[in-house]
Amino acid sequence: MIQLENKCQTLEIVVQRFHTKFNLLNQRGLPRLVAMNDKLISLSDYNHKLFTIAQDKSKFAGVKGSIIGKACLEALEFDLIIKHEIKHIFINKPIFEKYTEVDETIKG
Amino acid sequence: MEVELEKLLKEKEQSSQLALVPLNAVPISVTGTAKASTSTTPPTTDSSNELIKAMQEMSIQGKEIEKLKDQLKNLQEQKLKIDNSYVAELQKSHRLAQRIYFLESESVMAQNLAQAKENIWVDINQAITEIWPSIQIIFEQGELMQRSKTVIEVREMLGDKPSEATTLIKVLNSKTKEKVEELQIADRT
Repeated sequence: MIQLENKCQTLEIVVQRFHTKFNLLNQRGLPRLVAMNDKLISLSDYNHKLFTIAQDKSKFAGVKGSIIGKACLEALEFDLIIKHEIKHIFINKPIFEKYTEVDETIKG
Repeated sequence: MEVELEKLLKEKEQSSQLALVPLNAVPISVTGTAKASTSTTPPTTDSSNELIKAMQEMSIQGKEIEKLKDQLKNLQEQKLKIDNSYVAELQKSHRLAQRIYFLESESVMAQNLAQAKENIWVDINQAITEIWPSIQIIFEQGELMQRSKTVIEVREMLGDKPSEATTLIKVLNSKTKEKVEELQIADRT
């Protein structure tokens, strides 16, 4: 019982950390991962969303020509932050093994 | 203004030179005539007054000329300073223009901002695809966590009843059918 509670707490921390990070990226313009019923959407749907955003960004309002220096970096700032955060969102890749060595839900 | 000042100065100098020629000779002629006048005709006070007046005007004009010369000198100095600073600014501006040209040609981002944005989002898409299995695991772990919480709640509600049930089953299984009936238990199950 205590073992299950401990595992549950550890799991909650990992899941919560991921959702907090991803919510921040959502605020910066990354599309949400869940559908209306709070279930994870499919990869193909998500790829389609990202593709649409990439197309929209290429039609960036007002700036079609070449800009340089600080202005250019400022215009790309949020996109670069999202790219960096996504690449480093998992410090350790999540695994099931440590939570399911003893399947408490079945054992009970 | 400087040109006008120079012109004015020249005019003054010319007028003063013209005036100086007879006036330089005036004191000699005046003294000469004065000395001579004692023997010949006495000098009129009007002409001497005119001479004194002319000399006073001359000295005023001379001072004015000196003043204008000073002003001209100052203006020339200022012009020189402005010319120097203008040349310096021109050189600075030229250097900045060269620097801008260099940076423009060197900057990778100078190509096209829209293209750069699109490329970044294509990279983000690729990165998401790479970590998608981990995202799926996170969501599954979330579901597992919810199930575990439910189990914990149910266990807390049941308390020690599961172990009591196990003991009861063991007791019933150890009894024969007759003994179970003696205990007034109609059905073992």
